[in-house]
Amino acid sequence: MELSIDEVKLLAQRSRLALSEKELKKYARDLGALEELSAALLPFFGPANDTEEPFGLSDMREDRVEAGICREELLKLSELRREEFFSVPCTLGEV
Amino acid sequence: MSEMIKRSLAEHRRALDGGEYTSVELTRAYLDEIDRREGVVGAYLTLNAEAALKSATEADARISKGVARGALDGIPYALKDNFCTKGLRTTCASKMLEHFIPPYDASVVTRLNDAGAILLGKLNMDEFAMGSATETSALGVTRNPIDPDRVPGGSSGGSAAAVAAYEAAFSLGSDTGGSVRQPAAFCGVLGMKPTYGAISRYGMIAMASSLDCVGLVTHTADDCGAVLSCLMGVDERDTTTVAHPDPSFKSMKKDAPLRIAVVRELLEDEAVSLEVRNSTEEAIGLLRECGFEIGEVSLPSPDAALAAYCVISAAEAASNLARYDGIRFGHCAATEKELLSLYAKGRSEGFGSEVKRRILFGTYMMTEDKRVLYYDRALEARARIRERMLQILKQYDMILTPTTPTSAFRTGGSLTPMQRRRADLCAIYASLSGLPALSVPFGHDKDGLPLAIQLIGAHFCEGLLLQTAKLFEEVR
Repeated sequence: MELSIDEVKLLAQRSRLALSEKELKKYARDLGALEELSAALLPFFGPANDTEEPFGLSDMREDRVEAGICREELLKLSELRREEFFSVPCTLGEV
Repeated sequence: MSEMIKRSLAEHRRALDGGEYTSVELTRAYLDEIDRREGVVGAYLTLNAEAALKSATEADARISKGVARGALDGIPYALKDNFCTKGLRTTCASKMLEHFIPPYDASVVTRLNDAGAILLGKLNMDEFAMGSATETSALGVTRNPIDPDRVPGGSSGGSAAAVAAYEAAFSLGSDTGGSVRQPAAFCGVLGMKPTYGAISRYGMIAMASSLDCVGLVTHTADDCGAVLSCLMGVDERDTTTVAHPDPSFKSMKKDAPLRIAVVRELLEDEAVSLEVRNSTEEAIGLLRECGFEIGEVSLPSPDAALAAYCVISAAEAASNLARYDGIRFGHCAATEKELLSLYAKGRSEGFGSEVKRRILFGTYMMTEDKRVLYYDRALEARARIRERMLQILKQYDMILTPTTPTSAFRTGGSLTPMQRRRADLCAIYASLSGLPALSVPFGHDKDGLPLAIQLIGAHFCEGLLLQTAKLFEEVR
């Protein structure tokens, strides 16, 4: 079964790809076909009581931006610190 | 064509050490053959002629002083273009890396340099090793040297074509789901995927890390053993590597009759052509005549195995290829001012259609619901396949299957993407299980195209596979 264009758009966004309308249509078909191929896994593997209907991409929670660890906390974890930066061993002949 | 380039590695060694010809003469002979045939074959993306002749001169100096570095000193070879080579363009046959010049060598390149082997150049492949015909390459077309209207297979199509056309004494490729074995079968040469972890992949551009292996393409089993011995071993820069229990393969040799398991499902699958089936039956008959004990075994559903391979490889590829954002690596859409647009535009311009398809599918398979529905099941399928393969290999020394369901197909996208994936059918079991597998040329179809059988052994039993392959060489 084909994916919807909106689903492919969402996947393209997550994959950091900018797709043309033509590509969106093509991949909607291709991904649907690949998913059908993957359905061969369902009768043989996975939990036997897995009878719930799979939900679509649109049912997923929205991405949320949350506060991360602050710079000073991160720098405290560093074994070697040079001013406001981590100091790491040199690679590939850098000085 | 110079006759010298048709010789095996051992014959080259004897000739070089005995002064019959020099490494420079041998290298020139291969370069001449490249010059003569590349217009049709198109195996190479980048030639390394000047540096190769310089290395050959140094090899000759060592050989004349009696301090040759071993079996491969002074012998020319070529590399699939997904191995990093310091100062030499490494493209993965993609516009994304068209101008990438690595600042370091892959571990296998270092090992071959240390052994004195001469790098002739870099070989065409399917873009980022995604394909089975070398037709997804963004940088060139490679044709099957046996019949230029046929594909050389893929993704290591350049590696197989170069050896089959005597444009290199041996070559390296990468094998994720048959990418060395299938082109080797299509081009009538030997192709090996060693045990996962036997050879370091440091500097080999990753596609699906839990499946990727360095693969070897040679003319003979002895050649394959010589190259394999040079490349195997622990590398602290690839934590999946382990020491081979018997790098010389001596203890692997058995005098007692070997037991071979035949997978009936694979032989009778509808994708397998009648000619391949008959040829494989003939190989089985030959082994029986030679005293091998043959038994039949069953493997889990080929469709489920194929699905598991598709899901796992796409999920890992999508993750591995995230690094090509135009800033850390790869083509940059410099006209874009905004960061996310720069990523998206650069990736869309740099990646070809098949790569985009697999990235999208991998991303799709890793979304929350699909991961539970398919990816987790694919991992379970893989575990069960591995368990079953190991169970079979406790009772048998080897498993025998055809390498490919058909002979080389016609160029120009004569198969749909789905049919091409079906072409991996016989190869994926060894890939999913991390087992060594060897494609051995055996027979031809009605058009004279080569056919091949695949031998799969227990972990680190490469020696047994090579021993059996030699038997086929003797009767060929």
